[in-house]
Amino acid sequence: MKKSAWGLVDAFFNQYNLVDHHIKSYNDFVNNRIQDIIDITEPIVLEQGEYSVKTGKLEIRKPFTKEADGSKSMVYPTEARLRNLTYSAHMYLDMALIKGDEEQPPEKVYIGELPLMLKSDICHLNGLSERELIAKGEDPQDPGGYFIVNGSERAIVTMEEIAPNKIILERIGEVEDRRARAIVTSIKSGFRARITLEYRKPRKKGVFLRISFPYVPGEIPLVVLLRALGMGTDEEIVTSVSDEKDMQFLLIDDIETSNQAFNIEPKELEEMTLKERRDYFIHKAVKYIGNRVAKGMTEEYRIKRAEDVIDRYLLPHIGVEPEKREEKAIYLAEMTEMLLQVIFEVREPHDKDHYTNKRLRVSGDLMEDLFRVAFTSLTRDMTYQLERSLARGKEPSVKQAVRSDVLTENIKHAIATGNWVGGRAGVSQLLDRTSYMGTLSHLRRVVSPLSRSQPHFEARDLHPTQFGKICPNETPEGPNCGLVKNLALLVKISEGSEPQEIEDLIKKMGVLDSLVEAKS
Amino acid sequence: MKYDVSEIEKVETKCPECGSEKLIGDYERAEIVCGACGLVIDDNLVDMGPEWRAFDHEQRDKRTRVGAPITYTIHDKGLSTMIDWRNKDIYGRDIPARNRAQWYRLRKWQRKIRISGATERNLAFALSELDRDSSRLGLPRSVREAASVVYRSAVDNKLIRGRSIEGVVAASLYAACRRCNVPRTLDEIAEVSRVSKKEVGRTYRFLTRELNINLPPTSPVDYVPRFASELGLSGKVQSKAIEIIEKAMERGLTSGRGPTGVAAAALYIASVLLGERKTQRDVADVAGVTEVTIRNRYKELTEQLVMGVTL
Repeated sequence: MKKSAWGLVDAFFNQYNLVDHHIKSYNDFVNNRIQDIIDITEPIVLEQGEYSVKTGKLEIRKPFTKEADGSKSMVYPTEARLRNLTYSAHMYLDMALIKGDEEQPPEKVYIGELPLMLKSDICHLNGLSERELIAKGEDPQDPGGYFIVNGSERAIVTMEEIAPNKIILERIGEVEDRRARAIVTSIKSGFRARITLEYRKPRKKGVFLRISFPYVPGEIPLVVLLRALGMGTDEEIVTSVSDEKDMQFLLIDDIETSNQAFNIEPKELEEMTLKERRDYFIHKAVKYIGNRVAKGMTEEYRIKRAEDVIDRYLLPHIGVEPEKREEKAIYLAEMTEMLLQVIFEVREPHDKDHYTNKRLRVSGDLMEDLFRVAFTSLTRDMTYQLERSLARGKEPSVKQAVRSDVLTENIKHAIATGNWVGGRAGVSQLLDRTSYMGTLSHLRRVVSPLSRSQPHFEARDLHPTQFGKICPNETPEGPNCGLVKNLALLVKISEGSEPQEIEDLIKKMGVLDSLVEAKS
Repeated sequence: MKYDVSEIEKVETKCPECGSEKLIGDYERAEIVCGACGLVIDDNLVDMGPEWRAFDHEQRDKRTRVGAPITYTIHDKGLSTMIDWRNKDIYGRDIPARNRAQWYRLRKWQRKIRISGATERNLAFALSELDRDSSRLGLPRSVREAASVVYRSAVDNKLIRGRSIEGVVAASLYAACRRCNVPRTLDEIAEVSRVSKKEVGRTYRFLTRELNINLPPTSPVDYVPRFASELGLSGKVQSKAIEIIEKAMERGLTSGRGPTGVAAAALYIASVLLGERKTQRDVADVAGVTEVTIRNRYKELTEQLVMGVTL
């Protein structure tokens, strides 16, 4: 019986490479995601729209190196390793300068170099037979899946993180303490926002439910935020959260407390119609947030900034347009219901080590983050250069304005040092070449972002959901124990996809929109 | 025993007894030995390296007390420091959130203070232009440093007044390329910079006169590898072309002739001889000369050097 099990493994590896997940992820990045990033990036606009630059298709050529005397030659990984070069490919982007209404013909501009992963689609070694590999000076058994930067082989290790855009409930302290928290890590286009909704007994007077999100110092009461998002009447707030009497009473209490802080004149309210009252409350709530966000500015600016912050930094994964506010309010109401269920012990808090709540960020995802930031800084530099040449009265030229070093150095530096955007360190590591197995193990590593100095007992435990995904045996001894894991044998990591596609499909099949249902 | 400081500092390059230049440094015994006769030329060498050891990258980062090497390509020579991007204090603790805004402001101001006054601002601007131009041309770091040094001496001698900064930058880059034996034609430099070829040439002549830089005329050999790789010619063709040029230089056929033209013609001849024939037009395009120039040089070279070329 044991023999037949290994037959499956052999068959698997006859088809798939041992570091397939890295290569597939990088190929996905190069073939699809880079173009998406370029398309999504804000186009360069100068002089209030007089000039703008339109970007087109990106072309990535096979790697070559430019010598000191200017000659070009194809570079293979062996040569890059020996001569301390970077094994990278040149990127050419179609850019067209638009002056007023007329568009000049697009030209291919060199924007920089992208270090490439060995044995990926654009690598020279892709698809070569064993003899051909030996002819090029490469070990045919070498798995690939790493980068060569400044002569050293660097592997980007897979990072394990809590699933983004999901509500995670946790209890703070003991059951009797009646404290809990709901966290959503909302990620949209590389921007990470952590939204925390907490229930706790206030020290003196105050609300129980508080929420905090980026760019707003401190916490604000949940009911105020719901008001600002468009739920003007008390009834709207209370019914959208839950139908349970206990939970509704809790919310009514919070609304009462927060209303006191508003300093509302009861006489004013009596004279208004329902609609006017709604708008009045919404306006008050937005002003409250404005006071928090931009203290001391004019009222107009405060309101504008408060609305800007709510749209862009609260739950960005739902959307950043003002139209999405209602949807965000419903999302927050659902979050509150779940949180209150934890408090009333109707629901258990989430197990943070359960693998459904975890996602692995492979090299392609990490390169995507890096490229997005590097490309944005290139665009900014280009804007600056174009503006400068305009100021000097010279006709702006796209080719002149591009400084390829910006992009190249940004990416190379991050891979060479391991200091990634977003403050993470140790993302790219020197490939372990102690032995063949050492190399394979290094490339199949999964690292948790938790701090090594803390005990983190539950995180280090072997969790049943890791079965078939993470090796139960291979983990280092010492401070990293349980935080550094290795992939199991027959693991394939699927790429993420946009939820929009699936949403469109199920809407076509007849599923009703949540907003429509809530209104009816 | 050597007492005089100047004698101690002097670096020997030849063995005093046998005159051989093959000196071997044995740093285990702290000696410099002649490779030919075995004479010990210098001993008790002082090791200038660090007094600690590190066994991986992290340790090395922790122990090193020096920063980046001095470079002339940054206006303050790389000597100023920045407040680190990591928001942590010396003990590794995160700084509290209320101080974060203050740190952000301090960082911004530290960056602004780096540039003190108009002269430095102009220098910073010029050096960033130099950086841009040299990265467009794909020049190595050493050329960039050399060009920065040339530009700085131009500033010290007050040669910038009344001239465009981009012009002087382009001219110093041209001079540095020639000095480092990786010459770039005036056309190439004018293409990446924002100045015209005429102005670059004029400024360059002015610079060399004022700064007393004597650069020998570029040899056609320096252009061969670049043109050959752009034409896709093999190494054999390159060596043949270099051979042709050297023979021509011996006979004095190259004096008074533009080096790019000679290089282009030599490459053309070599490509014909070795069967990797390229048209005169292709070679002319790559070298930035006219077909007529190639034809003329070609005629001169084949007439004087017996090579048996058939067209």
